[in-house]
Amino acid sequence: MECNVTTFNFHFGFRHLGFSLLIFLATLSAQADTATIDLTLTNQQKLIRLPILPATDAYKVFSTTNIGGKFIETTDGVITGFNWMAPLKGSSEFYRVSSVPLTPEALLRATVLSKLAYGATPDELTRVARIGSDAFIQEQLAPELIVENLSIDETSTGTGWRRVTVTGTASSPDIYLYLSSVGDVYLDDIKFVAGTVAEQGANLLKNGDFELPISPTWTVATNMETSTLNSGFIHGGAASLHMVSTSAGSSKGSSIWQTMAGVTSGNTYTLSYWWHPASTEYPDLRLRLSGSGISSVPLTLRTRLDNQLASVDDLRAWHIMRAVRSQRQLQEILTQFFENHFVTHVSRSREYLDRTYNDGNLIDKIATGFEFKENQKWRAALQKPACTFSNLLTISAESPAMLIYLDTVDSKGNGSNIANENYARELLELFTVGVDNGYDQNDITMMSRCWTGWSVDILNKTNEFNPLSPRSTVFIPGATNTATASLVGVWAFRYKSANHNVAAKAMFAGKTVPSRFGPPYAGRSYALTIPARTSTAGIQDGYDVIRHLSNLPFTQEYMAVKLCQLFVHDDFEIGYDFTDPDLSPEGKLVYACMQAWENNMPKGQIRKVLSTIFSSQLFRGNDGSNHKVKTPLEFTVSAVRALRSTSTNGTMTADTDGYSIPTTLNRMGSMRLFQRAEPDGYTETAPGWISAGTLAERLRFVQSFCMASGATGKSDAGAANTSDPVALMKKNLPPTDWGKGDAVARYFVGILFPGEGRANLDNYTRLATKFLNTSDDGVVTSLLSASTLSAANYDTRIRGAVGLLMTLPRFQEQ
Amino acid sequence: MSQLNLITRRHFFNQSAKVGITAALSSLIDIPMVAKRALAGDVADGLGLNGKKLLFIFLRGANDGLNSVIPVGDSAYNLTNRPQIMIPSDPGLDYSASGGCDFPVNSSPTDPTFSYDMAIRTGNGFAGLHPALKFLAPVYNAGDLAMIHRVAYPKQSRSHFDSQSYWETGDPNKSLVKDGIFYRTILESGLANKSALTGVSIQSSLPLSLRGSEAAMTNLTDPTRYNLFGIPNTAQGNNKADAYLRESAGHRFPGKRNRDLLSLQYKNLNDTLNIFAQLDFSEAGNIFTDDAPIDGDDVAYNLFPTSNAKNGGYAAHGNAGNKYVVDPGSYDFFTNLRAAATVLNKTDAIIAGTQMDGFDTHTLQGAATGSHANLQKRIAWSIYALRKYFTKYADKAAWKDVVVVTMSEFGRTSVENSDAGTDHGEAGVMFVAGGSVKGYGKAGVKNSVYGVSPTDSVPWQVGPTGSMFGDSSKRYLKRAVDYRSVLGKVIRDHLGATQDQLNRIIPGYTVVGERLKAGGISTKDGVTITGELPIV
Repeated sequence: MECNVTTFNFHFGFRHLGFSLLIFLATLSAQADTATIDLTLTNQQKLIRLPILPATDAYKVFSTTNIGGKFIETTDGVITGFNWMAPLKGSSEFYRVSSVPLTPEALLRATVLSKLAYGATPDELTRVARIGSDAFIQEQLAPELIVENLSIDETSTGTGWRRVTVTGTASSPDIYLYLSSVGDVYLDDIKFVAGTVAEQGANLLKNGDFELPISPTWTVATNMETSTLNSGFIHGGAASLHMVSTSAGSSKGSSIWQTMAGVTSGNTYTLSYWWHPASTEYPDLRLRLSGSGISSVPLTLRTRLDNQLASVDDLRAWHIMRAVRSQRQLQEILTQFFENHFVTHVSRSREYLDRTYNDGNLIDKIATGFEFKENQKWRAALQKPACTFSNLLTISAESPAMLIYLDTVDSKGNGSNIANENYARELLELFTVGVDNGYDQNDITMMSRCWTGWSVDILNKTNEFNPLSPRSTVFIPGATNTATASLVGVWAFRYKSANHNVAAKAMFAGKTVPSRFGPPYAGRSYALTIPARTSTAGIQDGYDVIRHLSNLPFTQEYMAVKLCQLFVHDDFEIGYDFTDPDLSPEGKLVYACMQAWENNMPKGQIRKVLSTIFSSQLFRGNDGSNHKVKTPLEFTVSAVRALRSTSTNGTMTADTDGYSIPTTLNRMGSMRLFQRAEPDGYTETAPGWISAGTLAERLRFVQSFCMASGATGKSDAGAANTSDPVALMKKNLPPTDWGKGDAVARYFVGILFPGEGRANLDNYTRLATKFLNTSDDGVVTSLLSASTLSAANYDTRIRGAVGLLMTLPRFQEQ
Repeated sequence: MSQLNLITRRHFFNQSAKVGITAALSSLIDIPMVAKRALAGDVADGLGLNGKKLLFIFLRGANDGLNSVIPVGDSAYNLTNRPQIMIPSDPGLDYSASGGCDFPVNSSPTDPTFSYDMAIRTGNGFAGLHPALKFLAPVYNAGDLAMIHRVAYPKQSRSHFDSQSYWETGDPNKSLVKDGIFYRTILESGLANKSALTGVSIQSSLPLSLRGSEAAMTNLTDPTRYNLFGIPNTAQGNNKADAYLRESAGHRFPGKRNRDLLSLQYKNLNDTLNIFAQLDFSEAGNIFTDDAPIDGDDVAYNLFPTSNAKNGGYAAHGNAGNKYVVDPGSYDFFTNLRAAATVLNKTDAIIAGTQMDGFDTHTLQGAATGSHANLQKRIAWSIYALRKYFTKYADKAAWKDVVVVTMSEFGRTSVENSDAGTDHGEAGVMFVAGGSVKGYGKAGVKNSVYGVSPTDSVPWQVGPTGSMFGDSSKRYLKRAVDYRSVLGKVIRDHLGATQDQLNRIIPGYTVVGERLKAGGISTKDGVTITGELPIV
């Protein structure tokens, strides 16, 4: 092992066995400095208390009997944690201690995988070690060049008749066929058989091939009454079922159903069927048993999201699975950052739509669609090399979710109406310039008038992106009324000029950028005057405000601070005096980000700002390593990723279906994705997330996650959050190490805490080793290598040790 | 910041104590008073050591105080200014009469709980209560409640986030204060980092009022889940996991931002797990009932309505929804409130609290019924129930030792907006309740409704240019009381802080121009305020 020339070197002299003379000297690079090191003699042992320094990978202890002579590395001692101990010998010796830090590359590797990604995976640690951290940064900054083929993004494909099979445990003999939305679909040859092989054995369904009249084998609910047998589209025989739903179905009372004979709850059966779309619209088809023991949705998750057929639970699951699986990790981090920055609240959209619709499922799908669409727009924008903050702000301002969330949707400024100030206030305070950063109440009042008319409405699908188009006039076929709920179309941004305050508006009049910003900003006037505008021209007020706010120095500062907090550490703040010659490194980095924002055209390019952060010493050095605490989302996703690799049999060694994690996030401090009540978004800094109560939830999650499937308590974090640490370890360690507690402990410590340095982790490694070599009673030695340890107990032991390591404080950090 | 100095002093003090108490006392004149007393063995009556406790409820979103404690006697409180949300006064009542608070009690057990839909006469000669606040009446008439109107602070922010943080830090108009008023109270008590539980919140996450980086306060999202697992998840396995986790607490690492915070909170977790193992927070354990029937009913109600069956007279009268005492949407809140009360009653915690959401009524606020009315029901029943709970079930906290205080970031506009709601305003209402509150009927107190009368020391001005339109933009209720005077009075005279301690808990408390103590014209903005009120 080479002694690194940039290490700290500590010297001290030891003159006589009984009387220690302590001389401390540390050198950092070429410069000498002094430091305090402790030396004691106890029980015939020499003890050196090693200096505790960031990212220390190893210590070296050198000795000499002649302080003027050469120091030789000594092998007499043993290091335990931060103590070096050696037996007393006959002669006096002088000692020098050297700490060997992680290489800058190893430190940066750990940092980029914890900041530009939702935590390291074992495979990514290996890959980034191969390609280099800077290559990883460049790769992640250009997500459009990363090829992705994720199963969760597969769309429903095929043409004509498509077959679906699903095997499961029966919960009831009642089977329901329904559409969760208004629409129609063709179904044929439905079979329900015992066992796991489709179509093998007796079909327990009567008239599943629809060769007989629908009734009486099937019972048809009122909303399904226009369904018919059809001879035009047939998969087999002479007819299929043309299922037509005039309102959304969800249960027996809104489905076509029958009670099967010979079906026993708890037994295994296989359902198979063929379906054919009736139009270009995807059908929201469900086939399921009462109680959902066996349930089939033929469309993929992504297709349902793309076609506004997904619930917010679906969206959350997909969002979380993308965080776990995507190779475009930085894009996912940034999408979540902007989703949280331009925060909205799915329940507010639901509440708004509730004025129109009675169907809660339909309301949820539309509201979820708002969230999905804005997130997909951010992803698409972030894939443009020159994506600016202004692009992202525009997406947010036009999003129905935002228009509803902060009350712009109903705000009126015409006549004597007083515009609702909510959006204008939060736009300034939380989305652009930051609180009290260059505006006052009058600016808010004026700006609130600019947004009047920005609203949402149901438009023809072809008009979705034209806010000046009229409301849809097409009604659902067979609709008996002209209520809004009967209109066909898509809810989207629509400008209602009748609500607009047509007067001229003056904002920030007479205000100039304060001197603390320094050149080139200080003293600039940033007044914004908007002329009187009538009719559809009034929509321009909002776009003028966006353009004006997007690149104000206050906005540059506020966004730079937030991004630095995201990627470096918590201690950045608004209000630096950028002209101060003693400006802190944090202040200087914020200013550098602002320069990158200001001096590249177009202004406000996200990648330019990020590159500035990623190339800064604050990010790349110890200040960027593990000073932050993970948010609940980062914590749970990083836990899954930490153990996620492909095992030798092709399955994943850690996985999640995403559906149970939202409950966990809520417990860890009410982090409900797409449902933040307050417009400040979830905090990026630690104190708001870490208390004893939230830590209890974090610890329970990783303990449950590390349990084997079926273990008591496994369902606490969600049974679908699976882990197989033994398979992961066996893939990466030679068989000769599988029984060695210390080797197994070192492996897991290495992948779980890559930024810390092995010497700093010595206590963790020893603790895990002891755990691995101790029986469940916590007392009796029980070596991992013992032949008496059954395979199941071996598995449990390793799960316990990994669970222990993941409950430790350092796993909370990034 | 002051609390950092305090901690430094305390650390220094701890080290000094090892070498000699006398030396420490004589050389460290800046030691907090309570620490000196603790050192001298005189610990009986100090902050945190006198058995006095505080329960806070933060009404997030800004409660419309004008529709909580209603200025019935002000002609500007009218249908022109509040066309759809005004609470009408009762034509059969003389609101200028003085006395106790009317309690519109039902005459039959099956009458709807909230059948009375007009302003309840408070008896202060001017103000009424929202009818959904009817259950405040028995607390008020027992002398255990003070209601304080026109509460705000100088240069009022109308941002939820700023204003909530000013209330919670106790330091208005300073955005960089990142620790809370109750956090500093607990630091001053000397119990921080000694007692396992000192300040506790029961809500989604730790509120700013309890937040600070030098001591770990506890937030519980769900107290029934407050235990850990082991792998294997057996008694032995759990003990092993627990022992190893505790062993790791001694592991040292290089200092980094947030590592002290993590260490403190891990320590707090370890310390509190044992305490909570002894308490039953389950729904089945919610068995607390009133000591007697009220409101004309013939059954005693559950104190913490956490299900329909436990909500007023619902179950007793054939599942009658009109017998609810609160709306069914409030069960999560009352689950949290019960847990906060339990923690205060069963542990050494001195401050506990929770929050009630949903007060940001920009649209369709409602009048005698509706969303704002439902929130008023929650406020009133909370205070009613806490009084009964800490009386009937008192353990480590009796009602005489508890003060309940509500906080809300600001009031709302005096004039209704175009969405039948109200926007962000200025002054609002605080409720302060407790067995030792100096309320109506106690020792010469003729009324304990403050801030809402023309006879107040800072008189309520009536009419179109009066208090309801008292700021420059003519839309907001002008302040007459500073929230710091209310909280400061409670922290000093109830919890037992010395004035010196209070000056650190609420920075600048005795700065002359603030007028927080004796009242007068605030030099911050020229507004006349009352100073401290004789509430405790």
